[in-house]
Amino acid sequence: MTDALLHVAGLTVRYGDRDVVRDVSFDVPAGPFGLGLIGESGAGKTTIARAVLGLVTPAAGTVTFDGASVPALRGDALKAFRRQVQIVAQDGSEALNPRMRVGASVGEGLAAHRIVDKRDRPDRVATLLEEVGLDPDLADRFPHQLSGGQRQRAVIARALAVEPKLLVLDEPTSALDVTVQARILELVERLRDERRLAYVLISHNLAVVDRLCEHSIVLADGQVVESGDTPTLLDTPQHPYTQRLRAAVPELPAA
Amino acid sequence: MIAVRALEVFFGDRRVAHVPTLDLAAGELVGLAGESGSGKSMTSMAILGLAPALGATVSGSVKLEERELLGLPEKELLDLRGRRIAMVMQSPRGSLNPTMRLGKLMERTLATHGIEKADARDRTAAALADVRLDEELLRRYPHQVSGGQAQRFAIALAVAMRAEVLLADEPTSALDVTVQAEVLDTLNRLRAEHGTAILLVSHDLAVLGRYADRLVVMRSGEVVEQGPTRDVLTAPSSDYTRELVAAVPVIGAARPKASA
Repeated sequence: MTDALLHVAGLTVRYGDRDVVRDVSFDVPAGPFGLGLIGESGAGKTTIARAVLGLVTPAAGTVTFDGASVPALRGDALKAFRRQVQIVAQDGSEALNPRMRVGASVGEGLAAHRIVDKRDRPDRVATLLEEVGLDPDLADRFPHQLSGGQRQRAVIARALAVEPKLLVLDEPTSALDVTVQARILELVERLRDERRLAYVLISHNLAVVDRLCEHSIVLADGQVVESGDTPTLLDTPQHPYTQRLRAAVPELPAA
Repeated sequence: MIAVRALEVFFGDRRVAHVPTLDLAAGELVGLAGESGSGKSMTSMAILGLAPALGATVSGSVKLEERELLGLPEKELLDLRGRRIAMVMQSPRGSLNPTMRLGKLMERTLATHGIEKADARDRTAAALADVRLDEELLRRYPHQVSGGQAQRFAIALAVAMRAEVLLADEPTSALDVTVQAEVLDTLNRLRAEHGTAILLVSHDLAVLGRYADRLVVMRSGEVVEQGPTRDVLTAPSSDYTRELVAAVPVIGAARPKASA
């Protein structure tokens, strides 16, 4: 047994009689740390994320968070787990209730997990919004009144509100324009150091993974084809699939 | 092949695209770059004559060789679109009738433009070979092919029609990166082998960097810069292009340099 924050060993997830994830193992140490899950559609990235979040039951293997088996969590332990592991998905608007003001959405977890007294919540929400680079006045707006980048920042603030140890970032910038993406990546980098966050980042963009993750695993058809520290993996890919993937990424001409 | 002059697209009194000049020569691949709301798609819609159907008012001039396209009756436009000007859209299956096998679709398209059956069969076989698709695909319905196959089929339609101009609007944005490379390589071959003039609309500067001869960069409806791709990307003249280029994540860029 390792002392990793998240320990995944031999994970297999089956839908019907098909293994969509087969024998996947990786560790995520306590933050600051980023693990990248690289792969194309159908590779099993999101299914692995769902298993990490305890949303699917593995057919085989283990998912251990902070020493406890995730599928076996019940009651208060499950509630604590749901606080410690937060997800930020591709489309920010899905995580924000469209009929709730942004501030209320961001502060929802504060109430559910009794993190601060009711009277202190507005202040805490304002602090969280500032932390992710949003004007605290946006708390009074509805999600549709925010830009895509602002919404994604609000989703991050909502995740941070409950002081998680691990974030699952599932294509967090894929729906954003490139200049907006750049600022969100900066934000994730800053938060990771300030909050000592660990995260699992799912991305089809190798350069995004390269920037945010020390270690990466490459998935194809539900299996790990290669893993290692990200710079080595991307500079000298060993598996033919990783090589093909790497070669397919167009790059800007050097200045 | 295509000459755009003083093109303006309005929704009500709001100008959503303004392109003073844009030229597209035979065998050339021009990239139209920009973020959401830049007007790049509306520009390509206007060139295709599709903008009025979306409720836009278009002024200026779009010429296909010597022929003015703006203001042409819908019937003539319909004939040109498909026969001389083809398009490939973002949604791979979006432009394919879901109730028709691909073979039937190809047959109908060619018949609509007056191509005889025997000729149509030859053209179909040659076009599929050009885009590296198996003829077996003709028996399938659109939902039975992958996104990359659907896009290559859309390109095959253009090849079979011997279209001189191809407008591709984010043709690979919905595809995985290895599939994206196959589709873009196919487009690239098309212009080399058939001299097709291609306008590639994309938000992805790296994609355009690899394939485009020239780049047109748009922002908030305006052209902020155009020129040879390499010049635009390595020595941008506008602040916005510089910001855009700097924002593209690059593998290896963020790494701490190994100590010398």
